[in-house]
Amino acid sequence: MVDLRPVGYVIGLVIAVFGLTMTIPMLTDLFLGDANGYAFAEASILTTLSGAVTALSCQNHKSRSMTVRQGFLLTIGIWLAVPFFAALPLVIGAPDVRLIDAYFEAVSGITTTGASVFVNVEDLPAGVNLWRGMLNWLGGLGIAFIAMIFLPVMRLGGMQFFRSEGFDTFGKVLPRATDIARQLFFVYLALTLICIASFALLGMPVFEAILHGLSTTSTGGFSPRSASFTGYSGIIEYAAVVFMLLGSFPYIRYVQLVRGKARPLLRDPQIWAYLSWVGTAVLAVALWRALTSEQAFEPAFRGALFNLVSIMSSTGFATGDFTTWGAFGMIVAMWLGIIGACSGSSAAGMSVFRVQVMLSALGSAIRGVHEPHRVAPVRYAGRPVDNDTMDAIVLYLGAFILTFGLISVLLQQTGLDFVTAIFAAWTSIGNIGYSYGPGLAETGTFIGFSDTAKLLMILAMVMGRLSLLAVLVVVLPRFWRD
Amino acid sequence: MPERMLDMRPIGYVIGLLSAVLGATMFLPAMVDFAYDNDHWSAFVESAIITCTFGGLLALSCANGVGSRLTLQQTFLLATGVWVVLPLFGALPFLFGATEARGVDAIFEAISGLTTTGATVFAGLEHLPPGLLFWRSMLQWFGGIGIIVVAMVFLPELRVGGMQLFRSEAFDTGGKVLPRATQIAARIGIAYVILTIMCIIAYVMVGMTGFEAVNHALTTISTGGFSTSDASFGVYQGSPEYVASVFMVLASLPFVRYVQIMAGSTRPFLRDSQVRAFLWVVFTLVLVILAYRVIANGDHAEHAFREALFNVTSIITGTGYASVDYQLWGAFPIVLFFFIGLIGGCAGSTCCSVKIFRYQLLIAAVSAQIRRIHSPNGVFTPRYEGRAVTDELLSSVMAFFGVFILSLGVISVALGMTGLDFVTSVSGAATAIANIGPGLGEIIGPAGNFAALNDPAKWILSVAMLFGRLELMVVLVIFLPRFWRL
Repeated sequence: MVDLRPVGYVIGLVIAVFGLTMTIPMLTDLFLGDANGYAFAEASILTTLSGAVTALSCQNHKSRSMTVRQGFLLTIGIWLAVPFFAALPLVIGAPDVRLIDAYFEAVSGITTTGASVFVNVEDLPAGVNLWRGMLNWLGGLGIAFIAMIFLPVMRLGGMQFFRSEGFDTFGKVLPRATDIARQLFFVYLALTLICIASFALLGMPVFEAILHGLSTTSTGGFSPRSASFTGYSGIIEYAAVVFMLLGSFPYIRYVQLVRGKARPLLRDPQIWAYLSWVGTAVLAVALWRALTSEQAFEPAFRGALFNLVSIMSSTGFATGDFTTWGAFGMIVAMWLGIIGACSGSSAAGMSVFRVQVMLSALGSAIRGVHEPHRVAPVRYAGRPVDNDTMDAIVLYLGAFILTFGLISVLLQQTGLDFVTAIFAAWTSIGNIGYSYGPGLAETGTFIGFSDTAKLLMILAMVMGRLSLLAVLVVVLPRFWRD
Repeated sequence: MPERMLDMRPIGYVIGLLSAVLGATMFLPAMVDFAYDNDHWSAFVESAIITCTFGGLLALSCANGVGSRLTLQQTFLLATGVWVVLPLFGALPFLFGATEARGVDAIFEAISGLTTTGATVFAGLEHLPPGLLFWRSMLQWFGGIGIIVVAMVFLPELRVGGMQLFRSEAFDTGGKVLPRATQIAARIGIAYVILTIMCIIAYVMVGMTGFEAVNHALTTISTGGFSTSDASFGVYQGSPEYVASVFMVLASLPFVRYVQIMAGSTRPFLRDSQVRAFLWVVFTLVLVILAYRVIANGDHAEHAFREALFNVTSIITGTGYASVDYQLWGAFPIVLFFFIGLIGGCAGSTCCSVKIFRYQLLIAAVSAQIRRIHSPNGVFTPRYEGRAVTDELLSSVMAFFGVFILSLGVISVALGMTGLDFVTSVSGAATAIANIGPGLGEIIGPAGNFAALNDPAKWILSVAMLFGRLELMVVLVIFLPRFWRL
């Protein structure tokens, strides 16, 4: 039988700490004289108590280490339980929505998706908007942590390929984790502060700069404005592009950078491939737009750059009228979103790394055609990709296609049209947050979706966040057998 | 002059020979037109003469270099060359004949025919001369038998897309591709002809006229999908739909099993896990759509069952007949049909798309990997039909999935660039690569046709159909510089 106590202990602790962070929006609201602060206070007490009680009741476990199976449960448990508590302030106070909507918003926040059900976010109390930004930020931090420490050990999605890079934590997940987590935390914090400062210096109001800073670095995409980045034309858009890109690089590289090693960052083939793919797409769309419409090249370039980077980095900010440019832009956007950004960042999707390995397998298969008797191993970054990693990637890509197909079919079953259903599945599994389709035209948010559709999207967001398989594996009966 | 040059003569010889044969068959539609007292037959005679002359000359000029063995490069070039050259001649009757089509339309139609796609650019089919309709059906029929031979002889030899799985099975060529190809074509041909005749008889029995029965049988057994009227199967409600469903399913099972049955052994057929998986998938899908239509829409059960069965088999086998516009069944089936098209039939049949066995291999790999996650120290080997799946095979299948997604991406982006809308671009790319026929949306959906598309889009789709028909990798390999180095 799986010992659930270590899992409950960690989840309890996380929830308790999470409850404490609710004091930040509480203080913000109280400071600004908004009575909504009491909602946060109430939610904070509830959350912290629940977390503490869970942790205390599980605290008598013996070993300090965790098995892989417990790692799975812990990961999924956190991503399902935390949004529930995160939704509390939204149910208790403004905007006073139903639990399902609040849970949707919280899951969307914590998975750094950024799809929203709130229509007029400008009217919300400052604390609520801050809370949404914080959810993105905490979720981004959480997944960076998971991606570096848990996924390689769990052999999910081929992340074990990076195990040897000084992060072999098998069997000693927790003690080793604190070490990495601290460095990661400071890197992440520094990046966020620089982002906020840049936005503020470039002319964004300070409060909006803070919120956008939180959701840019985490590639989350919540915005305190319904129009997202529309209206901040020019230099701010370029700045956001830079930070969205920085937020979607593998965090391992930053930790290595802090340890004084800049080479891995500069030499990472994943980063270069990512930049060149997104660059090519942007140029193609910008040229196409400039040639087929009245728009001048610079605005076309900026619009393509911002929106495509926002989609591929899985952030989900929108600017201008990109979606009305015609099918070409959106088809390119769809494929970029399916690829997604780098493995080991807060982005989801297939990830550049896995697509690169797939292309390398393709090359090797073609080489094999010419020289049938030579063994041509699949290589990545100069190293041969072992079979275990290869199988994990096959598994991931297979699961991705399957989930994408299944979720979009089911979403359409709830009464959405083809395009809206496909893009809703796309935006949730890829944790993107960009909304597109005639079904969203009225509000630009997902509020009009049926409850079933929202639940499906919630499931898809969590699955996309946890490399799909974490969820699939736990659902299997085999998982619970000894 | 380099030491060794790629010897093009065997390729030219085979292509020339096949062109000449294709030209000779053009006399059949000519006779049909003649019999129906339609003076349109001259267009076919004209095309036949051109094709036969060209093919004969090419074959003769290359005849002095034919051995029984082909190198790997020659095999690749031959497989691609046949599918590029024959449509050019197949298009001639559309150019000269009653349709007076422009080059791009004629070639699109011929490629759509020979690749057994079934997308058409002609509207008002009822008013075309019977010979021309017959020619369209014949193109698909030839394309169907052609692809079975390619899939059974060439692809396992080329070791692409996981088709090497079928290498040892019954037809090891030992490098002697051409003699084996002729043998296999002969044996498969018999099964193919028998099925076609059975299909014709069945269609006549359920009330089609002789001409319609022949045409539809030719395009059913080849899972092609050309019809003799714009409404496709919309005019044959009822039992013809059941007949068509049965034969579409039969045509998407591996033909090698039929050859074995004719030789007296039914066991391989009954034991084939690919066949079982395919039937199971069709059954489930029909049941799901039936349940949806009866429960959610309250439709009549028999109607719903018949239409679900017909349309699911039509799309999954890549045939592409339409009986009703399933886009009107409500939102749910549309996305479902999009994904059904990406499943495909069995390897070694006339179907295209991804094919069942690749999904089976993927699932085998996936379940082995999931076990490994649970027990990190265990050794688990993915198995298919009891045999261990080698890494080479697996990475080959993975490469296929990779190319498939990649080509969907590239083709849909290219179509979007020509100014088509989102649904048309994405579903058009899928329907062309998977050789299905109809796409989704108002323009190319089951109720529409491809006539209204712009020329660049038609070219892109033509290339996509060829690319998809040849299992993507075959064409891709030829475009690499290293292919041409010896």
